[in-house]
Amino acid sequence: MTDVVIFSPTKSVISEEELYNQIEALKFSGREPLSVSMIDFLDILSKKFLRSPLARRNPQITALGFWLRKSATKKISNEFLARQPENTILTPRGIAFHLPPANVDTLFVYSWALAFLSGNMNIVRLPAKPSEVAQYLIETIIEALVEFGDDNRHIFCSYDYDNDINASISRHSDLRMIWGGDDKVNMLSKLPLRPDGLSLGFPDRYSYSIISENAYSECSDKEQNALVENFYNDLFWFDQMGCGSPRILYWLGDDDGAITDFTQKLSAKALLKGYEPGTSVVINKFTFMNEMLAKNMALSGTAHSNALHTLEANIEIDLRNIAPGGGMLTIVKVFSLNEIGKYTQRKDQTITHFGFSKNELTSFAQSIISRGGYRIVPVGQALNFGPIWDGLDLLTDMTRKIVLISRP
Amino acid sequence: MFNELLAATPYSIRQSEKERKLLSGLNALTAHHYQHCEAYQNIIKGLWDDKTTYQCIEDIPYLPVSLFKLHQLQSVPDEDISITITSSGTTGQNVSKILVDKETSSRQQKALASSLKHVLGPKRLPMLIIDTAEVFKNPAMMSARGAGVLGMMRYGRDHCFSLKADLSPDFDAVEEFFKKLDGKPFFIFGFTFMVWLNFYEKFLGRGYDLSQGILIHSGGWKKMIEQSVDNLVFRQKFQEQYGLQKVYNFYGMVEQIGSIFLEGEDGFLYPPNFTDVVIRNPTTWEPCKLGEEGLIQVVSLIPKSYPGHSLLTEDIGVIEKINNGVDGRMGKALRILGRIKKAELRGCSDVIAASTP
Repeated sequence: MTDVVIFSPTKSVISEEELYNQIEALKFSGREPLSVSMIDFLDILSKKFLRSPLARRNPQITALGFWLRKSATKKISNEFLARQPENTILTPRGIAFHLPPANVDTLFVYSWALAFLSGNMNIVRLPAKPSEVAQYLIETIIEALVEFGDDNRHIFCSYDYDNDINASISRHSDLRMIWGGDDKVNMLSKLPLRPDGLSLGFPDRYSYSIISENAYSECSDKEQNALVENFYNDLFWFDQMGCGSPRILYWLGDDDGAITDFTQKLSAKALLKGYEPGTSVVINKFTFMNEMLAKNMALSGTAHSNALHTLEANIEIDLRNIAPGGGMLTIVKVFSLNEIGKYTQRKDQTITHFGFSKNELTSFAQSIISRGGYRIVPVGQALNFGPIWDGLDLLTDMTRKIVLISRP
Repeated sequence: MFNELLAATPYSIRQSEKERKLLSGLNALTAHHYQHCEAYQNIIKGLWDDKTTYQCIEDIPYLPVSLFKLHQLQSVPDEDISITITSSGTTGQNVSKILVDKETSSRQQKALASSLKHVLGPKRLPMLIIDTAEVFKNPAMMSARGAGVLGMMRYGRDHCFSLKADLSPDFDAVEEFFKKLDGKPFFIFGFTFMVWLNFYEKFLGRGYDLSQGILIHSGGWKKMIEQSVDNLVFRQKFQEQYGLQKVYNFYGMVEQIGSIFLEGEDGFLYPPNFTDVVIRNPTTWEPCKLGEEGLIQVVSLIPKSYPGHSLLTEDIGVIEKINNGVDGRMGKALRILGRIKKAELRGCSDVIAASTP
């Protein structure tokens, strides 16, 4: 029997058996989805996160705090409630089992928060060594849950993979959210849930960005700086290893001068923000550039700084899943948006854009139907979370509907 | 230029003159590899402004050593390749592949001979090898360890392999070696961790007298640090327990076989005439000043069949002296500080690739 680290109400070690007892006790404690009290609770968390001293050094905490605030969650809630069929009553799905990824330390909160908002009971399996940020988030959430009187409906825990715990928890679960790449999804989705359970996998994802050269050149200095700042956030948070982190920049235009101007400003911004990857990461990026050139998969490369390395490549060459991260950007010159559609794949998640009209973007979105690309958002929003994710309407998946017909 | 520098007495050329001569040889090699290795040409075009002639050594393009694990680089047709040296003797992933033709192999041997004669003297001495004869089973596909031993064996005679196939001591063979030796000087070679773990520790307390021995060893101190043994401890212990006085560490790599930096009596490593070292600042990548730590780049006139004449390593070092080395040695004196810390950026998966259901 394996030891399980449990974080609620305080960090302690329990036996596997004790964990299953706790899960058993969760069974019928669902709440009404999207209630005011739950929105208010998330708002309390929002305020704590926004005020946290850790937020300054870790902008992802601020982003999370912002996302959880009352006006934002109310909007999500109202929008969802408005599109429910007439004769239905919303009910939570039941017990939701979350398996967040190892590298994006705020993601477990988004997954948990939506499931919480939907009235579910939750089991969250956290990574073995949570980062400083993750540790802070766990402690803050649990403290608030205890105060709110809801801590017995949520189990935050941690245990090795090398045992049957995932299988046992899955058998009790109505919903399972597997975050963390193809291998992890493949490994865990084999485990059966309750017979009417739903397993959602969030596998390998890559993202790209599209910038219009015309729009860039017509920007005022202030607008250009805003674009660079936004692109910096998209690219460098989570060391470019998030699924929403852009790996390719499609540049709509042909002026090398404009591209150089943009990349130089981006590099300078990284210097200003103090992004400093370790020497090993810099050498990995340099080696990658050499390898791609050696193999004729890239046309040219530039080491702008230790933070930013860029490769220029043709659109047919796919460097998405081999690029090393840490500030390695492939730039592809294109002449039309629709060209890009042809090379969009299932694994593409987020597409950020700058300098295009609504019509252009709508037409582009239509060109990627049945290919990939699940969110098309402005540069700066690459890493924003939303209730419609990877093409899935999460609140629908996290709830069930009771049909109520009162008259025959 | 290689032959000219080779012919001169080791460590006899002043740094500025050495750089002048090396520069012309390195420019020639850059142009040569540009012409004959398509992959290298792509790199020079894509990362180095398509320039093949430079005004100083510090400006010459360099390749990262790991590239040899990821792509096969050669400047000769397949049929001219006489040996393929790999960094571990297997064809698995993550292994450097170095393609050597007859000419490069000949340069490697001459280079090694020149460096070794400086410490071993002109005549071949009886040689005790701290390894097993099994290490070079397949002559066409050689590991760095096998190539190292085989290469060194040319500079000794009446070779004795002190270890059996399973790396346990072959006491019989060693007894026989010392009997025949009859108190005369001899040459000992092995990789550092082998020499410590499989000789120092296993042959202890049996009265072996190595006072006439000259030990040449290499292989890095990383594994040794785990045993709490550094260069100083290594030398002290061998002197204490075996009477061994003459110990020469050297720095080298499979990507530039033949270019060995032998240790001087002062403990610093000296590049031979046809090789040099540049230390680079890991933030600016500019050359460091004397005494300033940074990434080691090595240049060598040996690699002709593959573009290995200018390489950025993952080792950290510092130049301690120039033109005032021990014994009146000219050129740079290098101290190695270790490897850079390897850091893989975390992907989102926290499971080991699905081999377990």
